[in-house]
Amino acid sequence: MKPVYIQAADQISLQAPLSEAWMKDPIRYDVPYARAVDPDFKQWLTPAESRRLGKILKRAWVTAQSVFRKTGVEHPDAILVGTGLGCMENTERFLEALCRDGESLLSPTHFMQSTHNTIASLLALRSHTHGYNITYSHKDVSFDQALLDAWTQFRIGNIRTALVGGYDELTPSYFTLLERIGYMGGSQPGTGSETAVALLLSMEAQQGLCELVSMRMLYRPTEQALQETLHSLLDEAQLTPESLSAVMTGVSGREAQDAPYHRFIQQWFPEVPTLRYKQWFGLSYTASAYAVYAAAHCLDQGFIPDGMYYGPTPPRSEPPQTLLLLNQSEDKEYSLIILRALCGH
Amino acid sequence: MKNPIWITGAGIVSAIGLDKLEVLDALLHGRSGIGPVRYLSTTHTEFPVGEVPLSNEELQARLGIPAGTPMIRTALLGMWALQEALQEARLDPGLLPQTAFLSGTTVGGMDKSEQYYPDFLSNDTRNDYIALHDCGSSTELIADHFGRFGFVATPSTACSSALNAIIVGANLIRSGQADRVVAGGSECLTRFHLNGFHSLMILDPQPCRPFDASRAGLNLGEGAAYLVLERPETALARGIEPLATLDGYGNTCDAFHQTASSPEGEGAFLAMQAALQDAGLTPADVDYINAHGTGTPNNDSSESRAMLRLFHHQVPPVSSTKSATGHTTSASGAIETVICLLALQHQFLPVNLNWKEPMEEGIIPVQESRPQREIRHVLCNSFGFGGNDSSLLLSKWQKS
Repeated sequence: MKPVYIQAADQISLQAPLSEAWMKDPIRYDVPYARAVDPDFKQWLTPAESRRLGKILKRAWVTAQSVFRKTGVEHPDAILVGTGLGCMENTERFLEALCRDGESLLSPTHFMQSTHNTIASLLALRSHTHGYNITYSHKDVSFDQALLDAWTQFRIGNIRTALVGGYDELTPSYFTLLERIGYMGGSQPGTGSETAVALLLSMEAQQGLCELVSMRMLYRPTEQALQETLHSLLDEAQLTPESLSAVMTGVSGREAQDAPYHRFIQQWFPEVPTLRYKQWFGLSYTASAYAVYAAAHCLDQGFIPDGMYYGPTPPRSEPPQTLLLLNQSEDKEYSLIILRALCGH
Repeated sequence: MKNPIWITGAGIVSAIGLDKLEVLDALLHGRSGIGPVRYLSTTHTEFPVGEVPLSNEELQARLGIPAGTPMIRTALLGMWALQEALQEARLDPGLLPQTAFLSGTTVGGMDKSEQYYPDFLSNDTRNDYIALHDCGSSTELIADHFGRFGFVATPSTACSSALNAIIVGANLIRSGQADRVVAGGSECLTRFHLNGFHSLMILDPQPCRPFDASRAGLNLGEGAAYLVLERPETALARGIEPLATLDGYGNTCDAFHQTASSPEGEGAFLAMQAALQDAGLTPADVDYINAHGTGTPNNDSSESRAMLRLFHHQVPPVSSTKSATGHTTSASGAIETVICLLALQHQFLPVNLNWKEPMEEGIIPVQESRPQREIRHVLCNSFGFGGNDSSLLLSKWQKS
């Protein structure tokens, strides 16, 4: 199979939008909840679009346009989106009206933009793309499932280009709900926030930010299953654990959520430097999209910001060549991704 | 030639039956499951619905889940259908770690969220249901009831979710990432989407009449269905032969409007065309189409247009079984795939109920269940909001 490249990757987040300024000058947050920092939408959207589209849809279309512009790919073969909660703002408004006013006089506008696939279909609608179109909504691995689907179709030759996105919006009231179940907020670290990441993947480009070497996903794996999967993944990438430049995990400082990450590192990668990203990009069901985005830019620029390192293993002295990305939730859903720097980097 | 994908098990629950035998009997006798609301708590009793004739408590008891366990109806319906599929394919818990589970839904835990939302906002009494609100939770509840699946995922493309789950599963097998998958979807009725469809003015207060000149909207339904898909090798290792084969599929986007279909049915046309190409077949090979056929003026005219274009006005027998089950939204793609499977196995054409008068430039749907020729290849259409249009091609199993 020909290699698959991440040709471009863009984000809107707690950091400066549509920019890699966070690599030199990250914005730090010490609050339990903050919304993403939006770019100047006027540069990207007509006034009518700005009025009509919900926030998550604006962010989705702007990040998609940005990777389209950078790559010249305007009609990808596939559009794949992961979203944990979908278009929450519209869902909430419809639900609130239903609970407050009962079952009469409900406006169709919020319902029409409330389904999870509103985002991916908007991207198809705006880019006039009739190809494969799908949305995944599965907790913390929603984005990973979208990426795995793209990866699968590259492998079987169905597609040569793909737009893969991770999107979530977090309203103040939904933050309260997620705080109630201990997912974010409370007295523990981490800023509950939102996600908007677009990746443009291509088999055709000879260049880009990095190569997507391979990936695996597992559900409730036994230790043996995890070990076998890890071996097969590293074998496929022709890597040994020691040869990895670093492992990027989703640790956030929240003890219970971090425990499986710490166990995983101690058991399989005790000698490999470890990286984190949620301290800058926040907590969200689709936060793992920022791991891929951030890792791709670190590999492209040949350097990893100091603030990303955690754990006892010191950084390697040479520029990063290969990164393993681990995303897990509740020790149940697991996603493992290997990215590699391109020659000359 | 692509590697064959065998269908080795199927399970279904819907308004016309709690298992495949009951569904088959209802289809053969032209029985509809659409009637007045019994279980959903709604003031809109003017709209008939296709409900699964069991309460949550009854489902929970039959599944052996202790009373008082926090549960959502989408998960209960999913478990019920999955049980039948696993039994038929003889998949015991020991085989689940080598099996992927893909379950499409959009509603997820909304049935409880809409009931407890004021509590969600103001107190801690219903936190279990906050954790069950999202789509992925229903998939995990369903999966975990039976053991330890090796991979689970939740496609959510509105009304085509379950059909897309089957496509995702088939791609996992073709790419060699999975030997075996169980795929489909589950969706219960909620006030949320009943009112949503009502706000779009596409619910019919009469029994729906897909492809009829007088059609005036859809009736909502609920249910779940799953299919076991695998490579022949793994099925043969258990001494199992297929019920049918999944030979082709297409997923496309109409890219026309957020909730309406294009007049020319571009997405539908491309999806059916892709499924045929994928299977290496021509339009003349198709013996039956299970249409998306919701009964809305827009869908049925757009889908008719797509079929007339693709089949050059030589359209094979078509019917919409939503006239019997109601529109089971995210589950409909899997429910109708199981109906196609039954049509192939038992060689009958499911009748399109309530049809009287042809629509302008429309197809004439099936009125007589006895087929004119052998049913070897069938297409199953499933379309969703946002123009998420997909189509599958299933073939009768023929021992070579």
